[in-house]
Amino acid sequence: MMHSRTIYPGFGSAGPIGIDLGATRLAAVQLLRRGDRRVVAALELPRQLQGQPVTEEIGRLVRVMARRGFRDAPLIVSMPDADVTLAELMLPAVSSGAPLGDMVAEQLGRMRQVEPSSLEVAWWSTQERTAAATATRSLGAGVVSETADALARSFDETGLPIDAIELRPVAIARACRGIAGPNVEVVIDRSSDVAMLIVLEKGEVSYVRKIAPHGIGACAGDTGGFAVDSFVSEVRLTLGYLVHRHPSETVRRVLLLGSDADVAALSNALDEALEIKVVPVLAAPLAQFQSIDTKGFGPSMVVALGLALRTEAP
Amino acid sequence: MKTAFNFLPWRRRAAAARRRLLGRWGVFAAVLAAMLTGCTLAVARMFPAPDQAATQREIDALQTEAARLQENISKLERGVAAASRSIAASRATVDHPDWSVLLVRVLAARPDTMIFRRWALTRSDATKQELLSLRLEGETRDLGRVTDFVMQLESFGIFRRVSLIRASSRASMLATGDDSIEFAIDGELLVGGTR
Repeated sequence: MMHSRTIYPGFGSAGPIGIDLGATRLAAVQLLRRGDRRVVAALELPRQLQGQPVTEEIGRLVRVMARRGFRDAPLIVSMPDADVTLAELMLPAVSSGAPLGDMVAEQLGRMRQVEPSSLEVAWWSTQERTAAATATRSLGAGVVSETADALARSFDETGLPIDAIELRPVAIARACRGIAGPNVEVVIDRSSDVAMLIVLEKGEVSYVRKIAPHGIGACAGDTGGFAVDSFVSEVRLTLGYLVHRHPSETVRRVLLLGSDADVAALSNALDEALEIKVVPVLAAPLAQFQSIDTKGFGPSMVVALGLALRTEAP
Repeated sequence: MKTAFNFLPWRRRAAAARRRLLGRWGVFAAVLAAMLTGCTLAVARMFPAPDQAATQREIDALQTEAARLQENISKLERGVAAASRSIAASRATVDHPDWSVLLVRVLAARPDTMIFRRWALTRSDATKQELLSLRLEGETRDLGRVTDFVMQLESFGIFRRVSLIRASSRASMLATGDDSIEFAIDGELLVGGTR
């Protein structure tokens, strides 16, 4: 059933609306400017139908957004991690003239066991290009077109069509640009059903690793601490890989994202287990809005904030 | 490195681009319409249109004046017609010829031995100018007297033309018992000429 549009333009300039479709929460963020005052419209809803397709809950999200001061603007939506195939690929040099896009689709299609032509793919180089390089280390991402189309259709029914579907790691990198260091930065994202370890180089995503979903959260509270066994071992494995890739770089801290990122006990436990400083990332300071309404604008909104900060044309 | 991607299927991206383009054109059209409206208002302010009510009042006044003049013309026409009728009546009653004068003068010019059998004055419409024709038919002793009488008539100056129509010999009605000359004379005269 087609609903009428419920979000209107309003006064003042409005940035894009970023919507993060998480496994347990739906979050939306929009940055607004009213005169000299910069404000943010933010919204976080717990999912009522966990385990069901998120498309069932989008109508409710849009209705609440209309009541919470969101203004009509381009809509940028994150693709749920479970629907994204991400892989590190070695591709021929761009200068070789090889059909790199087709090669990425071929490899990702084989990994996901679908026809390459049924994928929407993107890829980007994760190393400096040199004239002598014969191969390029790259990250490739693929989404089944039908899945993306179904997501877009569910928003169409609310009268608020999607302008772009983005990757969550890319949104995180954009949100963290203000605090990320100049070289290598490690981010652990626990705001989705699948924990992700994301490596940023010069502010861009250069490596992504999915970690077992029940790595630490499931044990919280049972023992007065956190079980960090498999989770920590996976993180350590990744850090070891980073040392191999960047021998001259030293990882001094890990940025922690997620709804419980600001829980001190969790960051302390990870501090001790990883023997490295774990810094919780809060959404409010990232936006750097002077008159920000921080109520309800928590650490689980970093991804939505990154989506809302997108300035590139859809 | 570029890390801003869009996994929206290309068909939807194209549709979104069309939507944005239409939106921009819509805004452009709205701005253009606003500018045109502003220009129209400015021009209207610079060159104000005449007050329609005042124009209507002026038209009404002119129509009233025209009606009044038409009525005056009708009155004058009626006056002229009446005057014409009056003039015609006056002419009919005042300006008719005094035929007795003509009769006296013709009889005065008649020789003693001439008698008139018939005297007729007829109106002729042959020309625009009203003509009267005097027909004299009579008898006399000889033809010379007839010609003398014609010349007498011409000398009156009131006839435009005097014609001897007929002159023939026959047994006389006169007391002499001799043959006589029967004649007929036409004299055309102008009406004004007898006044």
